[in-house]
Amino acid sequence: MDLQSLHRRIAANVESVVLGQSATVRKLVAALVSGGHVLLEDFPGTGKTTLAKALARSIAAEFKRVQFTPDLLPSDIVGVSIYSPQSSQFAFHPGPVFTHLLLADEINRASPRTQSALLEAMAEGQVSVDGTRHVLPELFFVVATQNPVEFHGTYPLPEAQMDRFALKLSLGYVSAEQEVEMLTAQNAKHPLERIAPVASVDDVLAARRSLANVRVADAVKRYAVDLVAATRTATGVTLGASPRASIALMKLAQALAAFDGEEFVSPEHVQEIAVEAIAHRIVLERNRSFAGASPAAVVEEIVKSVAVPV
Amino acid sequence: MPVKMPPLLAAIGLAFWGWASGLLLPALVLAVVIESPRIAKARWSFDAKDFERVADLCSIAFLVLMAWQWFGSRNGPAGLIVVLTWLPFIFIAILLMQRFDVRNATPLSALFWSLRRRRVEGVPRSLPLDYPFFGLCLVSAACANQRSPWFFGGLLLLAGYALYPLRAEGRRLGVWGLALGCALALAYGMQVGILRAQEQVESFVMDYLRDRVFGRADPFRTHTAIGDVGRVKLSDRILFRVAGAKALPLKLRDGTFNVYAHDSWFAQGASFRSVPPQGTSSWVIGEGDGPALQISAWLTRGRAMLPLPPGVYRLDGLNVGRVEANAFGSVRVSEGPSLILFSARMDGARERDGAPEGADLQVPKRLEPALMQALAEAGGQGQPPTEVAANITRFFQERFAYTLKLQSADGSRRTLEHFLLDDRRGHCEYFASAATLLLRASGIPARYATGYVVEEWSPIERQFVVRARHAHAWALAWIDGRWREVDATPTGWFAAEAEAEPAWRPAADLLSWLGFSFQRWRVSGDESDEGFSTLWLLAIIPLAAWVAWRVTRRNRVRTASTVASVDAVSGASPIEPLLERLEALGFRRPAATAVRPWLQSLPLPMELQPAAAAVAHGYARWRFDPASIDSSTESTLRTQAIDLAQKIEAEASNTRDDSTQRHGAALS
Repeated sequence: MDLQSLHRRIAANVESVVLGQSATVRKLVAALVSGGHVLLEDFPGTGKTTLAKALARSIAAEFKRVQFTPDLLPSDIVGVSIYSPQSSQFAFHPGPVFTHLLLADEINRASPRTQSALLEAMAEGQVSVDGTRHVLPELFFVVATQNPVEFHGTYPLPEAQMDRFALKLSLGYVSAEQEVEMLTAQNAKHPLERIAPVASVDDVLAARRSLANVRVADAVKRYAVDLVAATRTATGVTLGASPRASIALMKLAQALAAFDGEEFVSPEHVQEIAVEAIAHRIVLERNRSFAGASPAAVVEEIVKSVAVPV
Repeated sequence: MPVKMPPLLAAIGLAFWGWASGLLLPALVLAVVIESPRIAKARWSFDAKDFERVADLCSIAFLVLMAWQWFGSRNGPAGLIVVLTWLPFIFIAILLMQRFDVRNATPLSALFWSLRRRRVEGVPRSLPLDYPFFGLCLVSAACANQRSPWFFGGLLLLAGYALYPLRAEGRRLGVWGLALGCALALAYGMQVGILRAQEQVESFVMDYLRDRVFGRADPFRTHTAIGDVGRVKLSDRILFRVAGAKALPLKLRDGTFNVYAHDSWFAQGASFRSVPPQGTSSWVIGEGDGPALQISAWLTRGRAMLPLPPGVYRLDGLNVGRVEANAFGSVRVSEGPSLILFSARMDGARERDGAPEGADLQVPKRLEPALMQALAEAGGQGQPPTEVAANITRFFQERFAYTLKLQSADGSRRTLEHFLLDDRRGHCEYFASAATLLLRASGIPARYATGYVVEEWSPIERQFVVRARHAHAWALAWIDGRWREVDATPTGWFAAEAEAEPAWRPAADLLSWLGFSFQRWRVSGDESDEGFSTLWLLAIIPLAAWVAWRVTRRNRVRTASTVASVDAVSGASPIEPLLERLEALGFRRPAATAVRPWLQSLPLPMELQPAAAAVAHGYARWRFDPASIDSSTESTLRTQAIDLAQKIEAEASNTRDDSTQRHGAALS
């Protein structure tokens, strides 16, 4: 199955549940095949969890969900060694992190220590418990969600760890028509229960491997780098995006190009994903944030000002 | 990684330093103090700032001691060595502090100012100072300059001890020992080499001072090395080149002196008078008829005493401003170029030097008894002057030895009496001075002459070369109305001087000749000199080839990069005409919008939109995926773009002609 048809199938499946979010679904699948993790940030009830669940059900993969709470411990995520009296040995009981798709719900509610445990697993693809290394499955995709309005009892993710996510997506409210449609769909049975897997883990892994075949011209690479570099010199920005952002940007653009059935990346693919791939990695000056500026607006401005290669 | 260290390293280093510098007791006390944390359990937690302060204090103490030794004490600059010998004593404070620190390591910022400027959060980078301190002890021990074989042996043992824990794992001990032995043998060889090099430099400097500063250019006085103790060494530098010499050995004289006092010879009553020039570059000193000798010599600041063969009467090709001669036959030139080449005509049959005067018979009162005793030994009193001179020469040849290593019984200055009566070893200045005075004592007027002996033939240059070490001195005796050379120096002296010739001499000679050839070419402006121009070509051809290669290579690079850039932008874009047409119609693409989405978003009539999309897509492929596109696809794209442009043009004019709003809304 090539990337384009993989995307079509998954997108069709997910969009039958989450209505009016085709652009977001496209980016989510791009993250899945480019090997990055996704942070979903939006208001409660906009369908973050439903989206993640729909994606999980569309792939015949193991899915686990962890609801993050302030008393969640690192061992609750990565697993724990327990002494077994029968064998007189410690046996490792893998935590929920040993799965293909992990939904980390409300990640900012857990303590930084627990957050770090997950983020380490995301970066390394492995966890170490009691000095033993346990490798996570090759397909390990984390969708974390967080709520931007409630700050009581939360631990905002540090900037350095935000960088571990390839994308930060928002769903936003759908149009009135779509909301009506949503009500209709929910009336009979939850649509989530109607959908069946359309791809296997191997399909996704094969798609990841074929991503390297999408060609990127030097001019386009340069354009991606120029966009990322512009965040470092933009006014009002204390921390610009890292080279990791450039790499994520290029891979995501490759995925988007492949979804369009093309064998090469064009600047518009880079532009399409730039805000979601870069904005969450930059930190604005305190007074700019208070004045209402947002990182997304800054990146949008950059995309509108940096000349594309012609 | 923790540094592996042998136990008691710093203490052993201190003990060795104490032994070598003669401060054994204080060193042992320090060693005990340094190792006391092994027993004492108290530890402090110093931070980097504390270490930095102590390190600064040590540095200041070091600088103050240096300054005091240099300016404040009687030792002067030599006192710096004293401070170096005290190094472990000055810097032990840092090590002591480290020993009582909980981490037993010194932050690197204490040692490097550059690390203090940018402070990094967290634990500072640190290092146990034991090895550096051990090294410091060895340096100081070496500064004590104890020249005993025990020092090198001790160094060997200590180096082995210090390096043993650091050896590569899995190697046999024998291999390690062999490597260490080789390293130490090399070290020994190197220090011997450095010593030799220092001797060479010293002798070079002495030569330089002799030639350039004090110079042999003083025609009125020559200071002999009589009295000096130690080894006399003259350099191999080539001073003159002589061509056309027939009878060898030939002596070139550059000074004649008549009064001896305090180990120096003076030329008294020998004032110079100008020699009148004849033509532009010929100078006539006297009458005569004889063969010519070509001599080239370097001038210092345009002046020199000319080394001349006996009986010279005419100088040709000598491009100097002024030539002067005195009654003793010395010739001085001034206002000349850095190199002079001239031919000297000589006539052995005529005497040009002035007749003897009273001074030519005087001997110092102090030396009279010794001279008389030597004369009695030489014998032949009352015989004709020729016989007397022969006797004196034989006396020196048979009973004296030539040496450049001068010794004296008690380390005091040597004297001519000591040479004549006891030691009987010396160099040419002794022999010439003694022979001159002996001749005078036996009633023959005599003078002391200095100059050079022409004897070495250079196969490279195909002429004779005269080196600084060919300098010689001899006596001139007035016999039968002529000044005759009496050379009393034993004949082996020339070979003795050539001894200990360095291995690089041929290379140095070659360089010297190249320099000489270049200078000769520059001075004479004579480009017909074949030997030199061939050489010049040899040097120029590789240079020219290299330059040519560089130039063509740079051109090639430029061509390549031009091609590459053409490839990247591919010259004219195939949709350029379309874009121009659109711009003329008022559609201008914003710089930050990609071409494809922009083309697709143009408000074109429905029937043109598929064509626009095709052109947009073709352009994107041409621009961002050139590998997938061939020339026919490119020309198709070009045609499509022009076609589309024409259609849009037509549509726009239709709209204008019809003055209808149907398409105008879409195109405005």
